[in-house]
Amino acid sequence: MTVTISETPSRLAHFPARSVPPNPSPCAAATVRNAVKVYGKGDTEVRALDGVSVEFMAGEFTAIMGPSGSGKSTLMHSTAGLDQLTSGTVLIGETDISSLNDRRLTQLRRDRIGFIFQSFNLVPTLTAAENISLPAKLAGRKIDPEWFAQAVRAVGLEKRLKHRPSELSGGQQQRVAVARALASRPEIIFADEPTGNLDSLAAAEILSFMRSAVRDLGQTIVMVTHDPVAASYADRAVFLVDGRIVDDLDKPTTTSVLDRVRRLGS
Amino acid sequence: MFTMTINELASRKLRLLTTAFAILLGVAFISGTLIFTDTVGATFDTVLADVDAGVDAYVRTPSDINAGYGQGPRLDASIADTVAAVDGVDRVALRINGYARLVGRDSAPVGDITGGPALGMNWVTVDELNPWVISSGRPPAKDDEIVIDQQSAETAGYRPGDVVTVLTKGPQREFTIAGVARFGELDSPAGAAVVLFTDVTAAEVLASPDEASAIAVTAEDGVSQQALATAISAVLVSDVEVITGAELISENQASLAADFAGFSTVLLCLAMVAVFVGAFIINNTFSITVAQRTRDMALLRAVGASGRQVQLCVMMEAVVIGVVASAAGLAAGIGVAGGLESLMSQFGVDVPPGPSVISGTSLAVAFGVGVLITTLSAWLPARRAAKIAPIEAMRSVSVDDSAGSARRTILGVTVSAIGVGAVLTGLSLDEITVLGSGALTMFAGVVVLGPVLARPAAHLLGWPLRLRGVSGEIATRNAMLSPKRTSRTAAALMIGVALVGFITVFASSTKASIAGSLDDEFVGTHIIGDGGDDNATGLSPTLADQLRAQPGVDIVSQARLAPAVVNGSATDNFYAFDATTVDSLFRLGHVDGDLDSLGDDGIAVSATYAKDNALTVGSSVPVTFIGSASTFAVRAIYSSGALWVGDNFVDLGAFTANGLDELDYRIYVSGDSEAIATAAAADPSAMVQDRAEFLDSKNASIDQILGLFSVMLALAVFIALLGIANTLALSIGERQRELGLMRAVGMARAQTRSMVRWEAVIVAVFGSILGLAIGTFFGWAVVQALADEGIDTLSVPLTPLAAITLIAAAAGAIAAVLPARRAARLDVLAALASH
Repeated sequence: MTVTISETPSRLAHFPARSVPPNPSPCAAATVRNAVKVYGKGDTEVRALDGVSVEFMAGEFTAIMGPSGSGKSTLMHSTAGLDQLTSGTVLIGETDISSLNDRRLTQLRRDRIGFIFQSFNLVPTLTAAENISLPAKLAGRKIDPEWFAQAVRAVGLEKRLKHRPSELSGGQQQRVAVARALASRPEIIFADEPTGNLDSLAAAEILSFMRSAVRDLGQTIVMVTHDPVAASYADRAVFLVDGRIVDDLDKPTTTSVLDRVRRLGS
Repeated sequence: MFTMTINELASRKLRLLTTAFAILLGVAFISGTLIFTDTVGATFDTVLADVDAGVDAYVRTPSDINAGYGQGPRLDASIADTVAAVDGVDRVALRINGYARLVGRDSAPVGDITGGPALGMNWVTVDELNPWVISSGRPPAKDDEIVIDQQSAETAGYRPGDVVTVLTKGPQREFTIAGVARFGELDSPAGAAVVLFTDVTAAEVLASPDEASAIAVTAEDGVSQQALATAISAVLVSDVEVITGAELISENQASLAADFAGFSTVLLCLAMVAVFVGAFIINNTFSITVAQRTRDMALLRAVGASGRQVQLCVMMEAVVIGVVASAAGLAAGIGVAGGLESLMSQFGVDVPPGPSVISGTSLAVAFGVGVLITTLSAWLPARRAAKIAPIEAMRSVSVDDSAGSARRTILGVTVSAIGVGAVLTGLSLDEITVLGSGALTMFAGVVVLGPVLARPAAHLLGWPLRLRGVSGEIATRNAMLSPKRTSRTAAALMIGVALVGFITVFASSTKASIAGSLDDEFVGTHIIGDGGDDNATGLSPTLADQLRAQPGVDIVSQARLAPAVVNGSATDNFYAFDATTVDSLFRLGHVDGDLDSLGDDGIAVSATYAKDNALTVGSSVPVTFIGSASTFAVRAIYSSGALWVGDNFVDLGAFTANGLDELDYRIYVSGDSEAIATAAAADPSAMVQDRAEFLDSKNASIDQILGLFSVMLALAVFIALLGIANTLALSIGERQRELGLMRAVGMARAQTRSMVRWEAVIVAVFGSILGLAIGTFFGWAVVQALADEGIDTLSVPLTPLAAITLIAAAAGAIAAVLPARRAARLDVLAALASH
């Protein structure tokens, strides 16, 4: 059930590129060093991350894979500044986020990071257009109309802009979320099971938008997923088990990922 | 089922607390008022019973008119000799009451006349019949000696031996203080400033020689009060009556209770407003929580609970909250009662020390009201809970975002219109019950209309907020999200604000009317009063004579005031004027007949009064005074000036002819300021005001009443603010994921806080604008109704009303502080993961 995307003409062809050029010289958009995250104490202690070090390269689409409880969501949340590590370092670009207070951290998320969540991605009282421009508005900036238009066009939402989330299908809602993440031109986009609630067709659409954003615009995306098909859209798949990175796969395909998953499971 | 109720309550302690607090405050206010009234009643009952314990029979002139602290009916003092000769009579004593005012060292009268009256009495030499007990010095032995009450002595710093000036209806005189006394256990009766004279002096300065107010009698041993009273009345002529000592005591107690009834009724009304506002909050809280718990309840239904059981479960929750909150409210009520007591003493009325009277009835009433209101308020939400279908367990809960159906609009408009109609009808019929129910119906109508109005209103109010960035914008959206919730929250605030708005408009209209009629109808230059505003005190007529004699003073017209029954209806303010000068000081408009011809048996009436009572020049008007009755002939009909001279008035001579004390309520003067001041300087109680000062003092007293009511209504507003806080807290609980999401994509904590705050501000402003609209309408309606009585200028004071809105907005923002903090401190990840 592979949907190949190469045939699909890219809607992002005219999307102006960010400062990061396509296929950049390998520099890390986010760096994690010796990340340890411990929940609970004593007998109930759980080490969600047990010394993870990983770099997410700029202009790369990375999938974080692993069974549930492997720590993949914790890794993403900590890297994205939503959660704090027990110990270890996270750099976004060159910024050490562990030293930031809540205000700075919020600014960082707003200005330098994009988010796509599994569900409930949108503020229900705002229209699609307002949701897309929310981070810019939160920053008190006017969104660049050209950027906005192209982000919208990229995900094919031109006709749905005035709709409220409740008037959109699940797939459309996720497209709005992708547009929002793109529209603020972040250094890195974190996607948390972005297709987890979608049927395979809608999922394929979303994933190809994400891949195009990386290939054509040099966007950096880190995606947490447990779906090998989703992972196959990525340039690289990182495998987590019990809070440790156990494997790192370049150019993953559905088959190779499934193979890894099976091996890790046994 | 009950276990579930308890578990539910236990898991939402904060909500339980705020909801319960709304009811608690109302119940505390009710029970506090009741306890206070009971306590004061019981304490004064004891005092009144103690001071007259020695009286076995009491002889007086009967009167249909309650003179209050003013001059009561008098009788011939020589009756005392006849009474003394009756078999079974042991001792006899005259009681003589009237106006006397002690002058302090600062040459100003002692005591605040607006707080307690100034009274003169005779020192009763028969111990059993004397309510007073000497605390220092001795009783008056000579006719130029007096005894004063303890409170006045303390206020003025007087001691036995001091020589002081006393004002009476005659010329002022000097007396030596022989002693200081207490009224039973009190320093003074009801805050009055009292001067006690010898019998001879009292008759002379308080009444007339050979006159007394009453005769108190003790019985010989073995003679019952009843037998004594019967024996005395057998020998007396028919125009006096004899009552027993027990009857006297219970009459005094009843009259005091009646005085307090007005006060406690006002307090109870305000308490009921608070409870009513609380009802909205409970209703709103239950509506929201039932909606939030739809899935749980549907699950209950799915596993076999009946709709009734679900309903019962919600009702049980309400009952538990009602019982707990009301019980706590009762306890708080004891504190409120103490607060009211100290409030009273602020106004100069000391409540004698005594145990608080906490009656079972009072507690039961307050408790019952609390539980009943809570339960009733939860009734509709509980019914909605009963109708939840089991299938809804499978659906996701969505906020009820329905707003105005056409049906609701029609119903709301109809109910409001009926309310408006009833208010207008009540006004024209002068029926307070129709008026009141009309007002309540209007409230109900606006409450029904609320959800229709909420969305457009929030949209409009939020418009300027958009300039404040995205938090203002999202706040507006949130306020618009659930019109029912927004309007219910706002409605609670609306009630208190409507009442505050009403009294503000009414006060302002009263001021404008007074200012208008001062300009239009008063042509004099000065108004002299004694600071009092009723018939209890007055100025000695000597002052008017001095003014007339003073060069530079052109026109003088005295005004006197007495309670009377005029043409069948009782009034406290029946006026007498100097008929020959009154029309030189007031523009009385077109006058039919001749004011100069009033004489002792003529009356002047206003055109409106003449029309309402079908009077023409020559008609007769029966008037009953305290001690006598006369029939007056209409000799003049005037077309304006009623705010100053009343609907009808007689000449000063008519008052004198009917045995009323010659004390001037006010003196209206036209003349040179200095000349007037010179003449008035001789009378320490004279308060000379020019036109501007008069207006200022009127405005000041209106403002004082306005302030007092606003403070009382602040409780209702405070409860409504709790409601805003509660609704916001519930909404935030509902919007966890949304908040988490916004925080994740970059909403700063400060922005989150301001978002919640702006929503509260929108709701508060919406509620206060609705309230002010209703309050202004009430103000307009009442001004229409009172046009006859001189309140004929509607004035809608924009600055105070705008200030009320701003205060409401600010208070809304304060109410939002805790919910906003909670929203800002949400753990982003936990919020994102919540359901």
